[in-house]
Amino acid sequence: MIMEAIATAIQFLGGTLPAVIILAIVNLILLALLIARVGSSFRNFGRALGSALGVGGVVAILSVFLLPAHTGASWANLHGAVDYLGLFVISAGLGVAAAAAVFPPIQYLLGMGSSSRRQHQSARA
Amino acid sequence: MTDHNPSGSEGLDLKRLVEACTRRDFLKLSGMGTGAVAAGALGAGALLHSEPARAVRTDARIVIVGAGAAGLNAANRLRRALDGAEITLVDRREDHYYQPGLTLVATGVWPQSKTEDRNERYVPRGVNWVKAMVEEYDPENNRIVTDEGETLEYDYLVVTTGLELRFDHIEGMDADLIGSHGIGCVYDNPRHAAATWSAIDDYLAEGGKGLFIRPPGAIKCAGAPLKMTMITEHRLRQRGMRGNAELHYYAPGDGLFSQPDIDDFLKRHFPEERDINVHWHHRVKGIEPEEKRVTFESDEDGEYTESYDFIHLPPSMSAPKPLRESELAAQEGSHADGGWLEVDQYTLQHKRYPNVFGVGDCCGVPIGKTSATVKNMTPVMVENLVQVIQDRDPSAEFDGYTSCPLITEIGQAILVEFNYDLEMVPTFGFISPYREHWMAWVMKEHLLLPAYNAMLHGRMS
Ligand SMILES: Cc1cc2nc3c(=O)[nH]c(=O)nc-3n(C[C@H](O)[C@H](O)[C@H](O)COP(=O)(O)OP(=O)(O)OC[C@H]3O[C@@H](n4cnc5c(N)ncnc54)[C@H](O)[C@@H]3O)c2cc1C
Repeated sequence: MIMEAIATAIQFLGGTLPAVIILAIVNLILLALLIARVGSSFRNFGRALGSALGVGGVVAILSVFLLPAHTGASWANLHGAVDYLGLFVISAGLGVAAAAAVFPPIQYLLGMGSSSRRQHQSARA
Repeated sequence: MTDHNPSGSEGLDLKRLVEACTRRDFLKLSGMGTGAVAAGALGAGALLHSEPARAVRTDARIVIVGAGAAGLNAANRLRRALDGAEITLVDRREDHYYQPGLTLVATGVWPQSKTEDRNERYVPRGVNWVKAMVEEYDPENNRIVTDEGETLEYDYLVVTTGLELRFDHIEGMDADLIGSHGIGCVYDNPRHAAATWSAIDDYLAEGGKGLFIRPPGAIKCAGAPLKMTMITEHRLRQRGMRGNAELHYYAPGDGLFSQPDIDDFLKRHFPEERDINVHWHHRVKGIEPEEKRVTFESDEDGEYTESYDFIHLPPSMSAPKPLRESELAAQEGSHADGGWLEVDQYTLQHKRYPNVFGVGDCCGVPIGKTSATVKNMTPVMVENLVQVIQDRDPSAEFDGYTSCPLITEIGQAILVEFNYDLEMVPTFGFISPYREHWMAWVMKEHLLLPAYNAMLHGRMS
């Protein structure tokens, strides 16, 4: 079942798969640089996480309101808990994905100052 | 029957038969040592690596006829399950149509292009693709003949040719009429589905009498004529034209759907909630496109003519001509009329030719001419074929799984899934198969195409 879901997801992403893979690789590189403290660090982690979650939250809320119409449906087409739960789960998923996508660059930008100061200090020493 | 064998031999050739049998026996013996691994290798069919760790070693020549949903899925699965097999796929068609999406094209939800693809994206490496149509099956001699005159010999044959739309069963009807004279038909191909939408679009603007036909006999996606009716009714409401339109649905028997709960639902839903008049025991005899008139044969009213402003007119369906006129077709019983492939409904092995298997719409099985059925049939067929190659009895059983996302309106559908016993077998327990859901619509519109494409790659079970 999991493998089938992955196979379906790969087909679902279709032409956008290369872009998604590039974004994931860039984010992984940024995370690796952050962990290795190259050019930036996890300083201001709280602010970075908050900003990323904020972006994710906005995406999730917009998704709740826009998703039914985006699928050609009206609110009257949502029947019972299953449909509303589905809508919230999909929207939450999109929100988490958006937050995960923006966190590494935000963290990198907010953590940059600390790293350069540290490099500066070590250079003086 | 014309013999296109360049060697010029005709009829039953005993020497060839003995040779072929001997060859198959040898292949079975060589495959037996790998007995225990077959199931494992097949189970791995759903995994995301290109070759199973232990595929079954064989030199078998396997010919798959038809590169549609079933043929491509079978080619990919057999390619992974067998090591050394010579697999040949025969089909001239290079375009691939996502047929389950045609309903959405014919109702203006999707553009035509969304259902159009290329077979070459799914034909696995190492499989020989013969771009021709099979014209003659010669199961006595284990060979097929193409319309190019080429003879292909096989040890095992997999028939996946889908079905033929029998426009010739309706006097005055021709596929080229689709889209003109108020005639629509969702079944043929993406171009005709788009032409159906243009005919419906005109009808939505003008209103008038809309007739929706369910042809007699086994048809693929038996829900499609119902969906076309309900979505057109919804489109009329969306355009504020429902009051100007009168809708009629004509059924050949006294049911609307084979699954009894859904049948009950539709028998209430059509007249009571959608104001659609249902006429039982009606079959279309002929059409006069210029006059926009259709002639029915009815058990109660005999033969009579009706005028229309729009008619959705799918024809009856049968196995493609070369198959239905061959020895492989059912010779008696309920599947003989359509010339369907005579397979055991559980093992999908031919009842008279044990080295022949079938998958998909061409099979003479009680229900299930859907791509969802193909998804579940193919792993069963592959497992059984591999067992036969290994001289074992086929043990995997297909349960008749059939699925139809029954769109009742744009934006909602009932995800109906059932088996040979007509019991509901929902894949997602949390989505009721008895009521309309937006989630079922989301699946139909967004997830089933990627799932179908994954199936063509042999990645879905
Ligand atoms: C309008 C519509 C709506 C549908 N909706 C759904 C749905 O919602 N859900 C669902 O699961 N299914 C649905 N289906 C059904 C589904 O598309 C079919 O059941 C499925 O495509 C069957 O696969 P197949 O491989 O048996 O046949 P096909 O996919 O039709 O492929 C048959 C292939 O065989 C080839 N062929 C034919 N004769 C020969 C020959 N003599 N030699 C060589 N090759 C040959 C053809 O060229 C073709 O490529 C729908 C179908 C239609 C038309």
